[in-house]
Amino acid sequence: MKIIYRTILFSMIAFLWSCEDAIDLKLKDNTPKYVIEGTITNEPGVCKVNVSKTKNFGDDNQFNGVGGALVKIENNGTTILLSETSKGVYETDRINGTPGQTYHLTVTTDNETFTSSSTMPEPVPFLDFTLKTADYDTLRTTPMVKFKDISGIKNYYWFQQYINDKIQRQYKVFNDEFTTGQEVNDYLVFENTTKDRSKNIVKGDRLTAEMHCIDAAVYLYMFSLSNANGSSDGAAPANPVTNIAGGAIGYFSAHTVQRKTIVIP
Amino acid sequence: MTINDFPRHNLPNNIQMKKIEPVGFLTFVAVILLLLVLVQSRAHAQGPLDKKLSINLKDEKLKSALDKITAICGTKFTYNEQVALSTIKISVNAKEKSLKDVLTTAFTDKPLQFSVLDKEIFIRLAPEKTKKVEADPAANTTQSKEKHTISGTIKSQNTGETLIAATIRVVGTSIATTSNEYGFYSLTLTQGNYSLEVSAIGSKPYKNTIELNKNTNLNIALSDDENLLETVTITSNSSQRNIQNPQMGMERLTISETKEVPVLMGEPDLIKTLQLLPGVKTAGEGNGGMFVRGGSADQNMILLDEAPVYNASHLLGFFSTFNSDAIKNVTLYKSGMPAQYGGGLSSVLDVKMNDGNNQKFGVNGGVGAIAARINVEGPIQKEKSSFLISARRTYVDMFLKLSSDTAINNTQLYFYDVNAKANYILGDKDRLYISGYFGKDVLASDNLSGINWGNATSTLRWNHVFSNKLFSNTSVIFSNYNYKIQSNTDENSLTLFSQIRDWNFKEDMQWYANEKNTVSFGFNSIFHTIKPGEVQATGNSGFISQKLQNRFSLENAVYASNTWKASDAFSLTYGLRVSAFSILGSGEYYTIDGSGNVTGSTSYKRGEIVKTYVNLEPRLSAALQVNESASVKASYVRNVQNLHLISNSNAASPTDRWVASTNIIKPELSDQVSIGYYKNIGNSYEFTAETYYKTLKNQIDYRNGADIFTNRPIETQLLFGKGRAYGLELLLKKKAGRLTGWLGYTLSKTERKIDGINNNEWYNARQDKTHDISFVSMYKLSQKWTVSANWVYSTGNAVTFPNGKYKLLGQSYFYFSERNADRMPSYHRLDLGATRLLKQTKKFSSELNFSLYNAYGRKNPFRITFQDSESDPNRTEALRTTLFRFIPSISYNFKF
Repeated sequence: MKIIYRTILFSMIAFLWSCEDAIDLKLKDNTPKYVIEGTITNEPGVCKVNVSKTKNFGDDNQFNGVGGALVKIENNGTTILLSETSKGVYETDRINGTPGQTYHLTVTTDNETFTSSSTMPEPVPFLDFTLKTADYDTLRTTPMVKFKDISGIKNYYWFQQYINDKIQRQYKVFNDEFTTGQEVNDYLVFENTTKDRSKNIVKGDRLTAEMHCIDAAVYLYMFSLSNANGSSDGAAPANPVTNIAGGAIGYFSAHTVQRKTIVIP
Repeated sequence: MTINDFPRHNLPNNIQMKKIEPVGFLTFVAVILLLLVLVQSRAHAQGPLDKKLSINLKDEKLKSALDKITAICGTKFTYNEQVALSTIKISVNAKEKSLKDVLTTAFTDKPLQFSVLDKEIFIRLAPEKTKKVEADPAANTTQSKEKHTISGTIKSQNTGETLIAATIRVVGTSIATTSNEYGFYSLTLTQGNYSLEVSAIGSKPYKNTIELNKNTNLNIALSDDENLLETVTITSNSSQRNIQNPQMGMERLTISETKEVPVLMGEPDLIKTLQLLPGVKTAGEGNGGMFVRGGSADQNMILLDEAPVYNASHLLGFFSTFNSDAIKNVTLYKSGMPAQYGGGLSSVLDVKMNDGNNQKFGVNGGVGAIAARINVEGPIQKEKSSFLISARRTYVDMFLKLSSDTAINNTQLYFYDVNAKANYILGDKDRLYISGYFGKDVLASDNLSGINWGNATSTLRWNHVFSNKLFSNTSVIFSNYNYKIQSNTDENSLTLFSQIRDWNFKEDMQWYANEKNTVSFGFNSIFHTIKPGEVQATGNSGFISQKLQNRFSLENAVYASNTWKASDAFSLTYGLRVSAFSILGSGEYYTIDGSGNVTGSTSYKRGEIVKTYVNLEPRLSAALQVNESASVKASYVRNVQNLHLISNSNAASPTDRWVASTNIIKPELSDQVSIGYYKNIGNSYEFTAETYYKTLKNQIDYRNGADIFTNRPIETQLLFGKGRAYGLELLLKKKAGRLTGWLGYTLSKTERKIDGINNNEWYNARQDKTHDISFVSMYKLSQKWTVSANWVYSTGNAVTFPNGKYKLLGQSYFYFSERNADRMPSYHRLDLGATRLLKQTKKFSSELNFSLYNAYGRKNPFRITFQDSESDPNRTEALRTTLFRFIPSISYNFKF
């Protein structure tokens, strides 16, 4: 709801007076930190861990993979070593994630060890993904997702968004604090936030919503990641709350996957 | 409810004074030592009178006699014009006598007194001395005569408005007092003839000679300076800072001062004018949030006719809620708060509304760039009762309706406020006031989603003069703040409602005990009801309507304070406020572990006491006059705050959440010591230097990853810590002449240390700005034109910039290491203004006001964001958003 309020405020101000320009700032260089992004899903053979390091603000945006790390996932006494498929990317197809199971991740590199664990929740059915004519706009389109929360347990949801299979920066997380046991209908926002009109949403574009059921720690990570850059009205930026122990940033998530796609008519 | 009713076993743990921290204690000791040193230095400063000299004078005129003494022994004399022009002749014949003996002999039987001021001797006329001598020539000077009290009310002749802080001075002496916030004064003097001078800002000084041989009631009406539209250049020397009064860290503004200062979109704004004073800072571009000496925005206790105003801003902080047409007087206390005030950690802003003209009916108003104002006032019964209604509304939304874009023309964006007041004089001893404020902001987009919020306050007051020495004010105050957020779509709607409501009873007494002591005492009880959030949902969103538990609390305080005029040069105010905050049921209260998980809960019944916090708040201040025009002051003050604004933003967001202290959220405490030097230079300049050191305890911040909209206990989302702030503030003010204004400079540091933030290390608070300069000037060019300019400069806010980046989920994200270790670019801006008087007659006057905000178009960043460059996606860039450049405005004001 705060979003609504901000959107109104800034559209007003933008409309009235504001102007934007890029500036040069002297930013301090960082001491590189390890970044771990690990996922294991209930889709067969999807288990991938990216190990990288942070770069300076002035550097390019290329993935800064760390090769030669020892990446292991353990579940019920079975440990599987992931193999490096490209620099910093570790994968295996020998695990099929199962809801209800807890997975333990260990990453060892340069005498440093990082650990994490995540439990894959039972999937909650993704009921529908629809778009009303009125909610379509080339700049901002807001289709609706529908699912029915399961009462009695705490559920957390993470919706990733794709346009023509290209992942979008926007995503949405939900908890069931105010909606336990209810059928939930809510909007996802697909938006061209750039000035590049060729990125507008046009007829024939495929919008995909990928629904994940996630555990509480991953929810907290994704929730805090969406606010990580601070808010426009002055909240201090902060690093998202990681579920990885040992001093690395990032997350490790065992989650379910359900996908639905609509085509702009 | 009194302290005695609290469960006994609760008390010992809760008395916060027991936990005096070393710093707090040391500062306390430092103040005491400093006071002792000052007193000592007075005691040892007897030097000049001990000088030995030989002199022979016969019927020498006073001035030339003093000059001769100076020529012989080198000691200088200080005296006013009356002494200099005096026709008194003195005679003395002394050989190797001390100067003290010489003067004592010379002044025998003469209406003259002397005292030491620093290295000089201060000579003044003492009419009571001659009287004494005439009546009883043999009497010793120590034998006192009968004393009488002169008291009454000071008001404006033209409007009947009572005048706050008018000075009543006995000419030729240092005896003076000021009227209180209801215009009442009381002065006790030895029987005799006196010449009184009464002066107030914006009024012509009044002189009168009285023969005081019984208790006298004297109501005084001062005539206004002739300018009809309050665009007054202050000429009276009463504008000079009262250097004798121990009160420090105080700024008092009259509305005329705020009206001349050029501001954003020409809307006269009290809080923005205050932001131009040293020690008061703004949150950001155009922002109405006020940060006083390192405190946060909610740590200001803002009172409108004694009623707390919880959100003092309109339109997301760009404008303040105070409509300057309705305001009489504003007083800001940055330190040394009098004991009658409590509840705000860093400052008290006491705003008093006009009472309404009880002489004649009048209308004034104006049309500005964004808002229109009208003010109607007049007598109900002439000289007995009057009323005032003042209203303001923005009209930008009228233009939005003209837009062809449906998204814009369906937008609602406005605020309005209404001030109303009436008062009734019941006789010489009693006066009743009723006043109210109502303001509302509405911000909504086309599908009716939006937010509205507003304050409402009302105050009923009864002034009663028990005797010519005892003044009482009794108030019943109601205060309400609420906001409502709505989100409506075709299929569902969601409404969030939150409210804070107070009922407040207050009794304040002022007892002008004798010429040396003025005592104030009283008590205050506030019942707070906080509705943290009520969510109503309809439709298919799945949202279940919720109601968070209401929170109830009772805040009681008693206080007493005395201002003791120990000597002509030294005065001391010492007081104590005892506050007791009781959290009342019904409701659930929780215990929480270190990582924010609920570990247990206790349910309390309606009216049951959950916990009571008792705090002692000492208030000490002292003033030592070092010579006729300069003084040194020191103060120590403790403040306690029990209502906390939980906010993670710096702009005043209406959705920020107010919570009362709970078993987990402890009362915030601050201890502040400050020392200042005050000097009046000539009749038009004053110079002030103040330093302060302040410690803050039980400060609150959000945990990383906190969820603001949650039905879990709010405490699970919070972290606690402490803060410290220190600084130096310099102010040179010119208050008379064609050119008026001030130059202010602040050097300061503000830090926080919160467990769980920044590796538990000290970090800069966002509002920490090392240097802050403000220059404000108004120049009366001619009868018709007044021009003004102000320039501000400050170090940029302390902010957190990324110092690294990484790829995650296929996107660039930024890495932050230390909290607020970076700086926004420095901020500076020039504003220009001009006022043209169009017409000025007895019946009607009007003026045009022009202003240009940010005249040289400095691109001050409102915010800086970081993102992938649009032109080169392989790079990241910093993007600056600038809000206001070259904003011109014009407004028209009238009065009839």
